[in-house]
Amino acid sequence: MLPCYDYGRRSVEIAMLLTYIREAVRSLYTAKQRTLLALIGISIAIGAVISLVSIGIIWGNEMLRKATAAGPDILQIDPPWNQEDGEDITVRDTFLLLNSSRTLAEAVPMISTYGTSFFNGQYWATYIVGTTSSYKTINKLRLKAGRFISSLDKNKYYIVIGSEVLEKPAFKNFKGDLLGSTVKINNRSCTVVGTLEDSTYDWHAKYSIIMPISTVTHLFNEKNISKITARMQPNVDFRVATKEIERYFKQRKNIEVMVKANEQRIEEIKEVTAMLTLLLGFISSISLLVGGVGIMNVMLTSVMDRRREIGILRAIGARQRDIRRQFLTEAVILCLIGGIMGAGIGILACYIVCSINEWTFFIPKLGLWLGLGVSSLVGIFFGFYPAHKAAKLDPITALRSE
Amino acid sequence: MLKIRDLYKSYQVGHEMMPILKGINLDVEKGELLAVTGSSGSGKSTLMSIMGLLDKPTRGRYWLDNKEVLRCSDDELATMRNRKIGFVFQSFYLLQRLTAAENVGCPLRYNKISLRKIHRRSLAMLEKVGLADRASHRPDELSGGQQQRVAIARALIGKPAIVLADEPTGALDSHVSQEIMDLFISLNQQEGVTIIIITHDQSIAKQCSRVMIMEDGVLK
Repeated sequence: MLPCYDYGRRSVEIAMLLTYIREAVRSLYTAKQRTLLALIGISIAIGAVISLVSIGIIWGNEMLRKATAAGPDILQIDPPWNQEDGEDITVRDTFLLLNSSRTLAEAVPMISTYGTSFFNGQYWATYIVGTTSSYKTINKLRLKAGRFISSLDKNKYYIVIGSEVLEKPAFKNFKGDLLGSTVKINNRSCTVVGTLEDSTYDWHAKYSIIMPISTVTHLFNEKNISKITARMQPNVDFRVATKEIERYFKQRKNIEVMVKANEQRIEEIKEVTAMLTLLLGFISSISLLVGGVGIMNVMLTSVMDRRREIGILRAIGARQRDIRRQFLTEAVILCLIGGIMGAGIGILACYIVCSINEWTFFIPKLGLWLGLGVSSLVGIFFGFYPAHKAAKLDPITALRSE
Repeated sequence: MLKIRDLYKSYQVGHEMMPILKGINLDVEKGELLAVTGSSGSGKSTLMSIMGLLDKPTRGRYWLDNKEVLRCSDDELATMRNRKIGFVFQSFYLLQRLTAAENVGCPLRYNKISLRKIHRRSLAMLEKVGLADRASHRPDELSGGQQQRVAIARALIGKPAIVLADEPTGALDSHVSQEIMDLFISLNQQEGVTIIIITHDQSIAKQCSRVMIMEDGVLK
């Protein structure tokens, strides 16, 4: 029975559209199997677009979050890889740099090396970081227990243990209070004064045993700084600070340091993320092509099967554009249903990837709109040829066909 | 109402043109009930397709409701089929997905009429052909005679200038055929509907006010 909608004369067009939609749904429902097969194709394709684009966006967000958490005002100064012409950078240079600089608020030297550790009956090779007390604040480290090394610890054999080092069996199996225990590093007994929580994005602090920089210098006979972490004064452009630092080391020591600003990294991450999202979107749209061809196939079969119906409609007064519109509506509705299913698949896939990687899951609006928009476009694009073919059928041939 | 002059139609078969209609002349007045008979292959159906604006003649002139129709565009032809012509076919040609009432209302969809009005008029039309109680049945739930009545209601709903019936009783047994014929006659006499029936059944043709015979592509 026809439902009785009451539309004014002006909304006759809308009523017409509703009729098309109702007809389309009904005819799609009549050809269940075919509809289902087409839906599988298109929904997987759209699911791929939504999930890949969303994963790209979420990944970028994650990277960005890490970079901003470390502080946008932080600069990393690395000496060149092979140092031939110039001199080495020492702890003293760090303080000279800070004193002469007008852009830097803080500069923390760091020596990274490795040694042999012995604890709880086990030997293993460890990364060692020698640094000063400011390393904790500038890298936003958090203590699990005890304290960080302080300026009073000069030349003392005190150590702070990084969060990943604590996962070693030697520490895991240790019952008792770690603070005050002795760890042998290169056969020197060192006292544990603190342990770090797994809260930092600083790779070194996680995987190393941290000692006062003076201790590392004489224990490992290593004067050369591996890295300087610096914080800029407020409202300083990272380009200005970078230039200044580069010039300082070029003039004083004739070496070319590498300065990496977190702010610059943030910009780079944004660029890379945009590129990646675009690339993922592009790759996944290949699957859309496959899904779209599936839609076209189903629609063409549908047109062939319903030639008689097209003939009847033409005989009772349907214009070519009426037929075209009816079949286009059908294709678009097919794609939209596929799009909604695909959105479900995509969001689910995205959620799974996020939980595996421990990323913060959210549904990026762009991904969703892209998926649904693209699905109707696919419907129009791949539905057009079959619809056009239906419209161009000769009425009398269509009517007489079986 | 309907005027045809020197109408020819040939089909290409291989490399040769095969003539089907060889100079048809026909005048149909308003309110006529005309039968066109003839053996199969004589060109009756081709003439019906051309009169119904579903096919174009090779040459000739054709006026429908005082309008020269052969120069019309495809869209105009569709609109004329919608407004001026009602079709009744041998095998009914109803849409299986739709109910009887929806089938009847189908032509009005292309007429910018609200769904509520379409529904009301469909029901009224079904009542006229005696099927008011079958409005929500689908074609496969109806008998042949009932399906043909639905098809007649569909042909009439747009108040066409002319109804073209192509072997309307060809798929029905003689008892039901007579019922359908009675319906045509009463529509013609009481409502003044102009009807052209194409049939090879002499008992049907005899009941019409005028009979023309198609023989070898010419109307006599």
